[in-house]
Amino acid sequence: MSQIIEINSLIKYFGPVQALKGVTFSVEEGEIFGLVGPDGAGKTTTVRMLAGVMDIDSGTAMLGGFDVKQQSEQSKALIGYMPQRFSLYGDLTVEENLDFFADLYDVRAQERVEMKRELYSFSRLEKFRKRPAGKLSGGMQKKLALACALINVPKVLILDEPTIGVDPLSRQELWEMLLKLNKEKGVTILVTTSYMDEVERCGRVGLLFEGTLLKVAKLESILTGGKRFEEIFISEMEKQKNMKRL
Amino acid sequence: MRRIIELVRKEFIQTLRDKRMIGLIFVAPLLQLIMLGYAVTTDVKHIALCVWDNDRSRESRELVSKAVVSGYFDDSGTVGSDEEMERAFKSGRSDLVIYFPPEYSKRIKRGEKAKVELIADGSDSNLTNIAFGYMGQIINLENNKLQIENVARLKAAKGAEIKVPLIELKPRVLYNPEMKSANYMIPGEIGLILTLITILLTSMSITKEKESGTIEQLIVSPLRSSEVIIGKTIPFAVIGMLIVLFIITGGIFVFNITLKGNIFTLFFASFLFLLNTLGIGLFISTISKTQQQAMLSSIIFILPSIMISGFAFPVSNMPIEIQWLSYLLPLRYFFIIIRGIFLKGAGFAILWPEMLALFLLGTTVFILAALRFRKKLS
Repeated sequence: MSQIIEINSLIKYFGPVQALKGVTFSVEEGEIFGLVGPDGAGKTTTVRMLAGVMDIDSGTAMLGGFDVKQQSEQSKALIGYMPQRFSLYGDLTVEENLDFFADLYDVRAQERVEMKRELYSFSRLEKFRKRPAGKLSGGMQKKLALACALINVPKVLILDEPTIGVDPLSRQELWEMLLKLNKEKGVTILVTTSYMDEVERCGRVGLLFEGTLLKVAKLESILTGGKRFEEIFISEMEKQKNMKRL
Repeated sequence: MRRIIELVRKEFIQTLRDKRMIGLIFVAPLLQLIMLGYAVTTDVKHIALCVWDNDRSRESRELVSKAVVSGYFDDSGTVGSDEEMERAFKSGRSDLVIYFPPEYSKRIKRGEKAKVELIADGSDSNLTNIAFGYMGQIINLENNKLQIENVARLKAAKGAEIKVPLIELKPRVLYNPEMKSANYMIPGEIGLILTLITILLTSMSITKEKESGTIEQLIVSPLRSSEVIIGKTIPFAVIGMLIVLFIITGGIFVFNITLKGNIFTLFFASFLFLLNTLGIGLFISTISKTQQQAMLSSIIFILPSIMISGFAFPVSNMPIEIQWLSYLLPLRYFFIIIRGIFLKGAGFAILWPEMLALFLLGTTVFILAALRFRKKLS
């Protein structure tokens, strides 16, 4: 299997603070990769740099063989990106938002009609077409954001904490949508989360803590000895803290 | 190209759906037009005149009534003592007091020099100057009349030819003959409103995307920085031009101002000016994170630039350092251009240096802002 995402010694400074201290990992085509860690670990910074939204201070990020820094146009064409905060136009309707992103990505007439029909049925947003996006519930907003991120038929979907502030039922629905995309269309998914139960839906996970990647492993290989993922994660964090003390 | 059009369309929909924006775009120019046309006037009339008459003669009353008849002064009663006069000034009943000493009329009749004293409030220096000027003119006319009467009397008595040399002043005002301040103010309003609205709208619309996080989606999209800049400025350029049209129409039909020059020259100059304000708005958006910051930065730039670019106070009266500073302000040139076109009918042949200045300033600001505007999060 080929590596569709390759991240190598990524470093980012915010002023004097080193937010990422050399993060290296790769994601295989067709897998669901979870980047897990507490708030402030550097998850959002990592995916923002991968999506080309933020400058890379040092290190490289490759998407489908394209360097994110040097070949940003090609690499951006491969991805759909869903930022952490709801970032659609609240004063535009659901349909206007979809149309706007379709226009940005040059999705033309016939293709667009089909794409929209598919996304509507997929997200069940059809009956809210005329509603301003700002007046949707949190869960529906996320679905709309996902639909907009899918408008250019991406090979890689990058989701930053997609279920934050979403009720349990909508969370369930959103994950079903993601799994379906992954299974039926073979879309590679990179997702950041701090919900431990969501981790268990990922094939492989990376544990990020204070800008350092502690461990990357298949979920099954981590979940040994009947321990829950949370316990393992906390013990890894403790180890790291102890090492610092020494 | 298509992407730019869509960005422009989206911007229009968003702007027109926002009630506050509608208020800003349509109500602000209307209010300013009314205020500048009717209320803000430098024409001085109705100066409150109090009389302190210790002569109580026909001559003193005649002078006062001439002042009132001129329309510049209102009869605001009498005062009889220093204390009373002070009270009149302090309470605002009086702007100017005219004092006739005893024997005023007797001295005139005896052919001696009679004295009249003018005492002014002075807290509004502009009003005081104008009041002194008007009263001076009225007294001059009175003097002339006395001279002529005197000569006529002498002639009748001696039967000899007597010549009295007199210089008569005949003022003629070329470009604003009625000296209406609306003629001067309303063309200036085009500059005022364009500055205010386009700088505010541009800077706020971009920071709004930052605030709501939508900028992230734009950055990830294939849109280029240049496309974002163009797409974000065109809507406000269009709105700006509509405002120009609105003010011109209002000025002509409501305030009877004649546009002496060419309307296309006016639009062309407005376009050059917009290059500046849009660039400034763009620049402000690159240094602001929130809409509030953008709004404050805009106001901090706009207020002083209106003060020192000659909207109400002549630049030539300012200290030389401020005059140098004003050379950097697009409004300075734009005020000269619009007033030149509106009132004097000037065209390219005369106004090209100012237009060139606007073009150079505008492209510089715009390029600087565009270089700072990076499609990245910080």
